[in-house]
Amino acid sequence: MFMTKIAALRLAAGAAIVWRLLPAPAAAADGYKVVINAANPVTSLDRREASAIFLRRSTRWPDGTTVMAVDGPDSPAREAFSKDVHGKKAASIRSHWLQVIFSGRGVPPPEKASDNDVILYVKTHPGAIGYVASATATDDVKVLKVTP
Amino acid sequence: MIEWHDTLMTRHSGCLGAALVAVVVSAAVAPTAFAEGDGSSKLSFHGSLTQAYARTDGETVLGIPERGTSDYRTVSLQFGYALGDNDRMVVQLAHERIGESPGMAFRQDVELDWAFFEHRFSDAFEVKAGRVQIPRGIFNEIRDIGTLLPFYRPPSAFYSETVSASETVDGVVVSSHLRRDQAWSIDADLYCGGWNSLESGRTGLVRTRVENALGVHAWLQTPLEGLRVGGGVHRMTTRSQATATTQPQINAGQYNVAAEGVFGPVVLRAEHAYSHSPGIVFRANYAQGGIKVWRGVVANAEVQNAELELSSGRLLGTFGLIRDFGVGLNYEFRPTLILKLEAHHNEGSGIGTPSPKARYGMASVAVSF
Repeated sequence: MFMTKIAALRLAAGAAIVWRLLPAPAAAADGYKVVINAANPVTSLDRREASAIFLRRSTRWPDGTTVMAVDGPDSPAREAFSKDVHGKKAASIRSHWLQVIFSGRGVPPPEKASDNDVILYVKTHPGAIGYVASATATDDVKVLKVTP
Repeated sequence: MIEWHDTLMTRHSGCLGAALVAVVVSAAVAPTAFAEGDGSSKLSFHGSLTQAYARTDGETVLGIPERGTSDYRTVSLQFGYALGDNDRMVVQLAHERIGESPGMAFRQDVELDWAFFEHRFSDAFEVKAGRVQIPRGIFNEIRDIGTLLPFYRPPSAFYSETVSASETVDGVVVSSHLRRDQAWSIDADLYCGGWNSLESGRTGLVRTRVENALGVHAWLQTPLEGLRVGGGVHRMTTRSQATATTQPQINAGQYNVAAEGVFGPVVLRAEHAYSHSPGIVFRANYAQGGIKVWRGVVANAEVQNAELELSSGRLLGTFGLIRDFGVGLNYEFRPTLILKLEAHHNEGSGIGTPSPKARYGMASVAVSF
């Protein structure tokens, strides 16, 4: 009887772990905008340049400042950004980063919990670049044009 | 889960291995507890765990007995520290159980997987020094990361722990990226140093030291989206305990070629390796295919073989070492959590004796963060 209870507890713990790791349901589709620090003189990037920056293959702005890319939370904006800029789903980019991490070749950009956190980070770091949902207020940062 | 827990805590594994498992599980379940503070942290922390249950229908294969085992797992825990914009230190610890494999006698409960210092001279050129993964083939750098592998392990014919197929090198790796993000681009790595290995001797497995290894490997990204081809070559000197009385040092070489294509829901891979030393030639091949059949469900198949050609000594001729055909079905909850079911028909080593044959099945769950 005691062992049965232990087994049940273990099964419940296992189920809780799996439930915690299941993906959250997707929300409605949305657009995105790329933002940089207001002091950054850059006004536009093409998609290839933007992709290289967020994949950490390009680590310097033209003036030599270190690029500090930051990823947003799981959201329709992130999915839209990933498909538009990287040409891949956000899940594929996550797999790419797993490959990079465990082959010892690098680590992904830090991931912020909300669009407001992305804005705050970009506002306070001169070399920062991030992306947020189209509807997010961007008064304190510069919106960058991303060309094809 | 229950059997795994009992096995882990009471019979086989030591405290360090169990601690490593606990850390990875905890971090995977509550990743926010391990998240970086304001995103400017110099520390990074990542981990991976793959736990399997496997059994065969007869002979013991790859450490898997007929009665089954859940003493089968890989755990990796990685710590990184950025010393500046261009410098970082990375350490990865590993814990691995391979059931009843004789190779377990040579393993520590927790081992240093790799540890290196990296300096990035530019976006196109970096150097690593220490114990570094060898950038050889498709899977060598990520052999134990279940969320990145279609099956529990990469093809053992190609990625076994033999003198010519080490996972890491104690030395230096220089990496260069040419025409990055262009239609044609090249990623090239040069490595040199040595490594410890195991090989079969008259009395079983014995330790071997490889020295003066020098190799190069390159990948060519093609304009056809998702297709890359690559290859490499290396030479080395082995100090074998098995042959120490007659040949204290043996010079050996190897080349390998590879192709990988990711075309939407379809993934195709193939590799070939050819190793040679005096009187011995080793050949290994495999081909893999996978297709996403529905949402997170991926069907995989692979065929692999390895053979040994002996032209000196008492045994002469060509002997099959491994022939394996496997099929599998994976369910990807998300890229960091994958459930795998696989079945294999395997013919093992049979030098001078009939080859042991067995079918084995395996269920595993892979998680990483």
